[in-house]
Amino acid sequence: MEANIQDIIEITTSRSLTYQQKLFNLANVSERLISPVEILGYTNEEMKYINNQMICDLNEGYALYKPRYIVPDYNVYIEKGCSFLELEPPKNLDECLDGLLIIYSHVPSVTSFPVFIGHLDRLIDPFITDENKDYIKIKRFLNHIDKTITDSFCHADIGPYETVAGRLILKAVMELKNPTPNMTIRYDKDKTSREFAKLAAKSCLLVSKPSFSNDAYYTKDVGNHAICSCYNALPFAGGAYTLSRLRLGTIVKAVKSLDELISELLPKVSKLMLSIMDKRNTHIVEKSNFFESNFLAREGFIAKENFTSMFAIVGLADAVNYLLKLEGLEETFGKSSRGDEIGHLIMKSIEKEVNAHIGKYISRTNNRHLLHAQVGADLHEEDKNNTPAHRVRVGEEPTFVDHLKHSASFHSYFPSGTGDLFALDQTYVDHLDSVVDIIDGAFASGYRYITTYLKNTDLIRVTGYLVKKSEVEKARGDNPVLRDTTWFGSGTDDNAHVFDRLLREQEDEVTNS
Amino acid sequence: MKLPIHRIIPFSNVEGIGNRTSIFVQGCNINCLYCHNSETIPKDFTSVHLFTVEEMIKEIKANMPFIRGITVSGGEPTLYHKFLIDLFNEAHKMGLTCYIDSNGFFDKNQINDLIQVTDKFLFDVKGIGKSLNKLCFSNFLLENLNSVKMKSERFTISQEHISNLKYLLSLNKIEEVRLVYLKGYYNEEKVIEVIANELKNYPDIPLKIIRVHARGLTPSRAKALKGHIPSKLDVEKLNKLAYSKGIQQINYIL
Repeated sequence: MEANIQDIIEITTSRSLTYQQKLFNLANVSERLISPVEILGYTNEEMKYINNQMICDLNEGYALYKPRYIVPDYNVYIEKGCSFLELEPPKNLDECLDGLLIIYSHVPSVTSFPVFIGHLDRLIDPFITDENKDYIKIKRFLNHIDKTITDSFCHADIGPYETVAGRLILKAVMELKNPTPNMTIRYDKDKTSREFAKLAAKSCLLVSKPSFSNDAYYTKDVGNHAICSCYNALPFAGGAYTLSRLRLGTIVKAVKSLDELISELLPKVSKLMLSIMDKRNTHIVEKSNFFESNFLAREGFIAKENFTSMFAIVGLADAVNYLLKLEGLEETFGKSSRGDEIGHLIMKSIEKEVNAHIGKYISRTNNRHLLHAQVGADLHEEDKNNTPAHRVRVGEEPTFVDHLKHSASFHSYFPSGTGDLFALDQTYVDHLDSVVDIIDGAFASGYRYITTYLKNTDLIRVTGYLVKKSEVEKARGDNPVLRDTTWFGSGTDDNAHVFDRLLREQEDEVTNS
Repeated sequence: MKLPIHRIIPFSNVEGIGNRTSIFVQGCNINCLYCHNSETIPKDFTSVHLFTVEEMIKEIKANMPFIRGITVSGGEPTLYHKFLIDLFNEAHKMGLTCYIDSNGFFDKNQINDLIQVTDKFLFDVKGIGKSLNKLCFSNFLLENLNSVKMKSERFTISQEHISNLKYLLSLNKIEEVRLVYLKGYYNEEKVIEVIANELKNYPDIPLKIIRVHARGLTPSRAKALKGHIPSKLDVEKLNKLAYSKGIQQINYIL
């Protein structure tokens, strides 16, 4: 969306934004003061579909000067240091953690905060000498990140192998109960020990992280990668230039039939969005001088050959529900076999367009933009009609097992990331084997990514990132809050009621048989 | 042959290790005062589902690959030992483990074929001695159980259920031993001693002590428990006693 002078006045006079949030918002507005027609060469037709809200650019900006997501190879620092920041290679844990914190403050992204801070256990483990003393350092390091990287799209990875550092990180995460960093365990039951998986599952229940990624599956699709931001699987030492999304719940309202949607409108809007994305990639590579000037590129932390871009969807459930109604069925997505059929026809139509299109500057992913299941946003009235990703609408969830099977069938479309979340009851904390069994079952069924959290905790996962419910209440009371993601969480809960996901509980079965 | 099913819980994490499908059969051979599933006691099959093995397998298969096994509870599963042999053989073919949650009041020779195809038992020790008559074998509140009287001699005098526990332990078929703790019906110290004596050669097998509670009971059952519910302190004391008698793995639920 283009910005205007009024936006600047609103930001500068806001009583609830912190200084830093105002600064970053002003920078974002300035990128959107310039028309994309002028600077990126968008056509009138492309503009029409942005303005009618079918295509959403997530306010990414038009005067682009950095890739949206950057996934640095922090091993470069461990091995060679960083000459731009005048850092020698670290010789001990203190230097390692200190150097990483310094680098983090110089890693750009769409939020101006790093969306990937490394495979932390692999980076740290070689420097561990004394578990007790090093634990204190690791905990302090993680707390420092939470208070200075005030955006919970910041993501750390651990696993798949169990390490001392990995265990200490999980212990610290459970004690700190902080939203940031977001965290994923790259899980592979052939590589990850059962004990480490159970520890991660416990942490995920208690503090909503780490989530579990199906490491073998993502490695097959994306090769050498990392999980960053919400749950984006992106090429390692690279990232993604841009993310644009189709609002399927909005698009569907313009058609009279399923056939019109999948044979005419979706192919048309998909082609327009692919063209828009190519223009964005091209501008960053050819015009912004990012790769020529940025130290991460100059020193080998990233290479432009390792970038892709993300073609995302939201609102599959809303689109399907609309069409079910059109067909005279009183059913909803997630509880309807016809709904599943329609959902797959929609996704296959989009997938066909995305796979047929040769994209610009994305040779790393076979010149293809990667499909992504976007977790939603609150940028426009239309976002109320677009449930996150391919998720079932909150309130319309099927039983746990049916839900797992239903969503598993949709994960395959999204090589650059998707995931489902389940709110579990307290009994699972004492029965972690059950949680890991469910995760193993989900991955065997085609899941890419899963999060299981306890419904009654303060720290919860909104859609792909974490917020504290207590902080959201603060924000709703018009008070300044540290993290920008608290604002996103508030908006997403207003639209999608994500705090009220169905609790998966068992009956109180005291076996007095 | 059909199995009377009271209820199936697709995902259960409290009936044995891992995520399991729990199958609650209708019909019990005893009538515990504190039974929280007392609707499963009568062998009255008019309002329950009757499943063939094939139908059961279909229900179970729907929960794969998220479960590692099934647990049959109830009611008393061993009443249906012939049916369960076929069910377990089929479940094993699908790679699932098969558990039984039993009160131990069975004739081990009669159900031996079932024992052989059962991976693990969750074994409830209801108590020992004459108190069992009142606690488990009475027709109190349920007039249709003639069979309970037959139990009295075998289990209150000869303690056949404890021999059954011994037998299952010797076959490595016990997953956990449970004791629902209530006061005034049995001598808890003696019960703990008996259990400790059986578990002494099996230090890895846990005892789960469950504090009886009246939540969700029918009013008449709740009334019968009045004055018999142990305090949390009592449970902790029993836990300590169990340790002192040499039981090494103890969980207790307050």
